[in-house]
Amino acid sequence: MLGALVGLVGIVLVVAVVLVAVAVMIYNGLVGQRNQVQNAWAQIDVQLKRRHDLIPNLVNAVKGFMTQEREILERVTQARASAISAGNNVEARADAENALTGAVRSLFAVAEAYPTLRSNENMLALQEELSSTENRIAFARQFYNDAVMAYNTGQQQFPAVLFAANLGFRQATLFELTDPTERAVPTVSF
Amino acid sequence: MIDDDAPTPRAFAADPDLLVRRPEPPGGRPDRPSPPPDSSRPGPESQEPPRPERPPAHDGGQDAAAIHAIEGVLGARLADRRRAGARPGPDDQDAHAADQQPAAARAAGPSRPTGPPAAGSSAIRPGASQPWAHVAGPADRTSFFAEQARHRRATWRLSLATAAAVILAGLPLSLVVTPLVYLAIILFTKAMSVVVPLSPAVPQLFRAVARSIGSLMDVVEASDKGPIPLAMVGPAAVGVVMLLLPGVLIMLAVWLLLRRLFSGAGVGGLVIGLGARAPQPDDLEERQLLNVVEEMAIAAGLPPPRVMLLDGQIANAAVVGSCPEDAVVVVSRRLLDEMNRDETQGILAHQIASIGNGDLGIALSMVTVFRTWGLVNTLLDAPISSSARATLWRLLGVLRGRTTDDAALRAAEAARLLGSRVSTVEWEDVNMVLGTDEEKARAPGGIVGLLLKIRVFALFPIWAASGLAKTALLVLVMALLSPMLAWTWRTRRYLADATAVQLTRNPDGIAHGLMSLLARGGGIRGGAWADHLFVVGGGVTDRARAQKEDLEALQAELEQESAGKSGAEKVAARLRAGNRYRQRLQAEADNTDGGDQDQSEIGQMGWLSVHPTLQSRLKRLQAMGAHVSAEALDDGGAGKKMWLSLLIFSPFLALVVFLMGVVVVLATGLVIVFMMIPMALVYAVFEWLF
Repeated sequence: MLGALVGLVGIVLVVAVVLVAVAVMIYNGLVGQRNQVQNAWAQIDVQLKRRHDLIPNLVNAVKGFMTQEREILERVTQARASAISAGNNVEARADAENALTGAVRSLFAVAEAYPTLRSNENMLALQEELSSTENRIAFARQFYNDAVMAYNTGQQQFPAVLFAANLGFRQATLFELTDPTERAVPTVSF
Repeated sequence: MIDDDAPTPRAFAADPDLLVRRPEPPGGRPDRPSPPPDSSRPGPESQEPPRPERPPAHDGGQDAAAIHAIEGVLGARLADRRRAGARPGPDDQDAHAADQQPAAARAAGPSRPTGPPAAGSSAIRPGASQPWAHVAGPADRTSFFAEQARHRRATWRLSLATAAAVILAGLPLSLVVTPLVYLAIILFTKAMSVVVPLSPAVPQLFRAVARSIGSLMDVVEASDKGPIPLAMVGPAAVGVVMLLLPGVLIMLAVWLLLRRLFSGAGVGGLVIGLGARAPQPDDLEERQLLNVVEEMAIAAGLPPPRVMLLDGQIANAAVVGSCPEDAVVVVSRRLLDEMNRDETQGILAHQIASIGNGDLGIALSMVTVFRTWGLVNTLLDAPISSSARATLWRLLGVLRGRTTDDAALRAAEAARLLGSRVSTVEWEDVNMVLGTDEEKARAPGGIVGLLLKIRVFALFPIWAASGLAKTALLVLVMALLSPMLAWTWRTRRYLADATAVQLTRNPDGIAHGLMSLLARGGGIRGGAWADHLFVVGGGVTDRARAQKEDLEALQAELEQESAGKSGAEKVAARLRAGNRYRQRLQAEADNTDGGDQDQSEIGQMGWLSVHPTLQSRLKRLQAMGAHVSAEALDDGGAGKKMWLSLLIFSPFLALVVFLMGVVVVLATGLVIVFMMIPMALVYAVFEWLF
């Protein structure tokens, strides 16, 4: 008789321990997911700040390069234009051609001295950095949404749904567009 | 005149070709075209700004054209001078190969970067009230979440099966190890009893163990005489456990130790062995690669892995390491040249998904299993094999010098040695005593030779048993464990594909990346040990097409070199170009540091490839929404052929399986028989000591 009672108490105890263990595991999982959501939200700001700090400097650097090159190219085309407009006047023509040769030579010299001074490469690099920055922001938002989805699902699934609200877990909100014009396809025209 | 309305940065940004009129290469080598105009590929491409065919016409048109002409010529001249200046030696050619192509041609290489990740085919249509509703398409659709869940469940099942297979395969070996373990325990306890008085319970325990093993022998005897009485089964079962358990536990402990050892050793050595280099941030393609890796790491919520590059003509990518913090992504330069940004992003998403899913730890565990067996075999062989002793010495070297610079290289080599000794049977000392006359002649004479003979004969049961155990191990691994491992690894590849779709939300990119690897992918030389960690396996290349492209490249190079020359100079230039090309191929062939293993460490001794076929991967990607052409999915009936041959040969296969089973059982039985002698000796020692 006593043995049966002890056995029963033992079984109840084991079941209770198992239930508590399961509840603890669920709670810890939800805590981890909530922190993941908060971390993901903060990471979006990290990328936004990076964009804010980086892009103006990049654009200024590229602009600087382009100005320098533009001055040189301006000289060359001016010389070429005057060479053309010199027409059949041999002397003027010779002078203009000499000027043009000099300008072109200096252009080659500068370009050789600074082989990386190429507008298109700088422009491509700027393009790449711009789009990569936007991509990073977008991927950070995507990760945030995935984390929110996992967190909400974890709260709504059985058996967590029974006690999640009581333990202080709330549904998180997904990142959504507030401005409907951002949903429209952008028009590009030159 | 140039005014402020000249081609603005915006126009340049829209069309980089505006800046540079690409000089026609004399050989007519086609520039890398933009992604083929495939009508079945809507989505990101359609959102790009339209390319103007000519420079925008305005007042400065003529001067703008002049600028373009000058820049074009400039580009060609500069490229020529760079090439001329960088001619010091043939081995430099490869390093400068990327720089030498006119920068203009490379400007078309990195494609226009896409905008924020496209939402796949089920793009948000303005006005659609339920963008998540099921969209009918060319293939039955599943979501990548469903695919991931399915593959994760499959992984669980397969992991359990693999663990069971591992334990089963290790049983014969543990039979050999057990008596030695018991001997060690007895000696240790006796030594302890000198210092600390032992309770009489300890010898009682030993006797009980011995009795249970003895009862097992009784059962074996009794089974000859008829049905076994039930009462004997219990103690016999305990006997079986006592016979197997110490060996299994010891091997488990060795496995944990080795795992710890090799995960701490890091991947530096392995990557150096491949010949990888750090990326150059000046190169646009490589900077794009770094950006892409960062983006994928952000999407996955992981720390960005280090990136290393491989030069050469093979396109492939791998991730090596033992944990997400330690991971290194190795990408071949050829892959960057072949693929546009979307496809590179897809491939790298696969790699980072691999990291995030914990594939590195799984690979390490799998590989450590083989190394554990290798180590146990080496230890058992040590008294009778000099090569085993050399391997142990190397292993000690790794343990000793863990903080020196080439520790990683030495660790890699030790790992390789262990992995290769799983089933080798090299008994130099035994050969010197019992082998052919020629081998006997090599034996040392005198007292050393006598000791050698004594050692060999005294240890006869052990090395005979270990040889049989190795045979059983080999058969079990080939028949049981290898397919399980390959199957598990394939499921992880599918899971990584599905997770990659989650990361990029662009199944097209991954699918097209895989398709382009069909042509140019392949096994990286020297990387065979890590074959399972690459995106595609070694056997994927379409060799005919690759050779044709190689020849075209050579032709173009010859034309370029000999352009503008004539006569003897032309011939000399062509010879030089041909020599350089040959040297480049030779250098690739020679890059075999660590290439003495033909197969990956997981795939060794296996007949099933660890990589799923590209067709099956493309099929699953298509189910997740990728647009894949029918010809890419066509595997030439290989799947049907396989099933047909399986059907035809099934009786033969059944016979083979039966024979293998017989071999295993026989070997195990003989192992037990041989190990009786050491067991009896151990018991005698025990009785003498206690």
